[in-house]
Amino acid sequence: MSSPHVLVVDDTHVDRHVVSMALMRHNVRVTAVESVMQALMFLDSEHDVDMIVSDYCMPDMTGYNLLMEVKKSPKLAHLPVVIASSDNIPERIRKCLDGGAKDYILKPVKIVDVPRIMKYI
Amino acid sequence: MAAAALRDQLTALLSSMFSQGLVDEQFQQLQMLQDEGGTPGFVSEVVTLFCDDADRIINEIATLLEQPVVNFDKVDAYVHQLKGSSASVGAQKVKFTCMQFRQFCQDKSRDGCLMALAVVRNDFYDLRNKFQTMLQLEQQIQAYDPKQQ
Repeated sequence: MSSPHVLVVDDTHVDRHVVSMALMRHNVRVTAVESVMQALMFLDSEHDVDMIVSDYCMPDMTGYNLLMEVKKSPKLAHLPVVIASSDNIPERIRKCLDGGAKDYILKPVKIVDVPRIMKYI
Repeated sequence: MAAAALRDQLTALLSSMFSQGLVDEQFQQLQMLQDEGGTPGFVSEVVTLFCDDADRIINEIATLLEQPVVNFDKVDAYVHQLKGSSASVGAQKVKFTCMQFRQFCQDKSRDGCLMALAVVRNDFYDLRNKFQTMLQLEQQIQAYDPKQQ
């Protein structure tokens, strides 16, 4: 089996770098983009993405908006989506999980979070 | 200076950064990622990205606070961003200062924000100096040991 392909969405450069590195350690191919718009464009053109890991707080469109776009698309709805956020807000966590997110992890993303989210692929 | 002496200097610098609370266990995680992944430049890349980002955000905040009518929501959004990058790199002291800063944004206190900006700037410059020394020491150590390149 070829290595899984994960799409990382985060507007902060440091976070894209750290999350990508933590994932690549698990033999994952990573594509990192900085906005929901870019993520949707990428998903439209690439068809081998196995999971999406998205930040919540981003200008214009949030990680929740991305989740909604993915879940309403027949082509993408099967993709596991994990939301990462520095805010521990119970209503937000519930909203994301009710919206179909596989998990909601608190930032900063730690090494131990990665094996947990890899199970969703 | 011999490589061993440089290594001692680096170890002493890092442990003082931890004991002073400048960095926390997230920074250790980055070092682990680097060591286990066999990617020597990783910490240096992340630290450089963080410093560039923080510098830019601090300047943006300073500009916003100079306006006759301050948009506190915008200031808060930038402080939130800085808090996020600080947490990701393990810059604990800057992260804590950002948390206090956000309170002043919510109170819409310009004086409070200006004070918090001075503190965050000071904390960041202090950390950046130490990061720069750390990176220089690492480079010097690598120059001694070509296997680590």
